[in-house]
Amino acid sequence: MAKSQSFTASPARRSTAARITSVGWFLVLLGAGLLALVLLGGGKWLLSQLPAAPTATPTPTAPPTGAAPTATPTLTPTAAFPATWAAGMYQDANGQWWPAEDVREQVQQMVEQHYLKCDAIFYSGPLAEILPDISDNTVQQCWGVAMQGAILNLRQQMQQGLYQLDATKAGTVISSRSIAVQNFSQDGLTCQLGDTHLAGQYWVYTPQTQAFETQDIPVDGLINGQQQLGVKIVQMHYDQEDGRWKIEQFVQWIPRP
Amino acid sequence: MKRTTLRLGSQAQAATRIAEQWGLEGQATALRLALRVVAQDCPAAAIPGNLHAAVGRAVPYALDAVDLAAAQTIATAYGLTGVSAACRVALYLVATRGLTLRNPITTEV
Repeated sequence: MAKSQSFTASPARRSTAARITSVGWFLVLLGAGLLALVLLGGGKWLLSQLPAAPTATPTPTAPPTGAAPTATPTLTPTAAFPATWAAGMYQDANGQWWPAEDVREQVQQMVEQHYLKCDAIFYSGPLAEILPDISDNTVQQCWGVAMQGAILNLRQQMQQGLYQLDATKAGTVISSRSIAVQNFSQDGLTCQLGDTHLAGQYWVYTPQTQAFETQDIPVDGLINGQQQLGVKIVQMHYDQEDGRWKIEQFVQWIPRP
Repeated sequence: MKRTTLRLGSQAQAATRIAEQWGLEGQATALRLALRVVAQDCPAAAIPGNLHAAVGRAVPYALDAVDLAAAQTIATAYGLTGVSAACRVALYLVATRGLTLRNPITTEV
C-alpha cells in the first residue's frame, strides 16, 4: 500500500523546555519564588523554636609557652602535727613573742602538760633506779635530739655499772610547784619553762636497808647546805613530727633566796 | 639579814606580778630573786630614765649579804646610785624579759 502524499513525517520530539510557552515559564518561575519564600520563612520559624545554644564559657587562655617561667612544683614536707599557733605569733611592747591571745593559754598549758608528764616519769623515784630502766621511747618523747644522746649514754653507763649517782643527789619529788611558760621564739617552736619548786620530798639512801626513802624537804629548802627549792628553767622545743614539746636544754637553776 | 628601806615606786607592782607569775612567796622573794638573777649577767639593756629617780613610799625589806652584793654589782654595771635604784632596775629587767636572762649554757639530768 502506497503512502499518502499528505502525510508528512513529524519532526523529532521536542524537549520539555522547548515545549513550554513563555506564559508557562512565567508560571514556573512564580511558583519557584513562592516556594522559596515559604521555605525561608518556615526555616526561620523552625530555628526560633530550637533551644538556645549554650553560651560559650570564656576559657582561660594558656600562657604562651615560654612567655613566663613556669613554677617548679616543690615538695614541701608537711609536718604530722604542725604548730598551728606559729602563724599568729606577735610581739608585745617589751619585745617578747607570744602565741595569739586566743590560743596563748592553750599553748602554755600544752607545754606545761608535756613537761610535767616527763617530769613525773623521770622523778617518780630515785634517779639511780629510774634512769637505768628508762626506755628509748620515753627518752625520745621527753627530750630533744641534743639531749637524747647524753641521757642514753648516761643510762648505758649506769646499766654497765660504770657510773653511779651520788646518793645525796638521788633526786627530789616536788609536791608543790608553779609553772611559768614564756620567752617564746619568733617561730613559736621554742620557749622557756620555769618550774618553781615550792615544797616536796627528797630521796635518801639508807645504807642499813640499802634502799631509798623519802624525807620532806625542810622549810628553808636546805639539804646538806644545798638549796633544793627555787626555780628550774628549761628550754622547750615543739617537735612537729611527734606533736610534743620536749626538753631541749637546761637553762639554769635559781636557788630560792 | 639586814633590814633595808627601799623606794621601789612602780616596780613594787612589778615585784607582785613576778611573784604571782612564778609562784614565789610574795614581793620580797621576787625582789631578792630578781637581784640575784640580774647580777649573774647584767645583760645589755636600755634602762628607762625614771628608774634612776627614787619615787614612791619607803618600804622595809629584809635583804641578806648576797642580795646586797648583787645590788652593788647591778648598780656598778648600770651606773646607778644606791640599792633602791638597783632593785628597781632588777625588777624592771625581770618583769620585761622574764626570770631567765641567761642563754642555755649547760645540761642537767
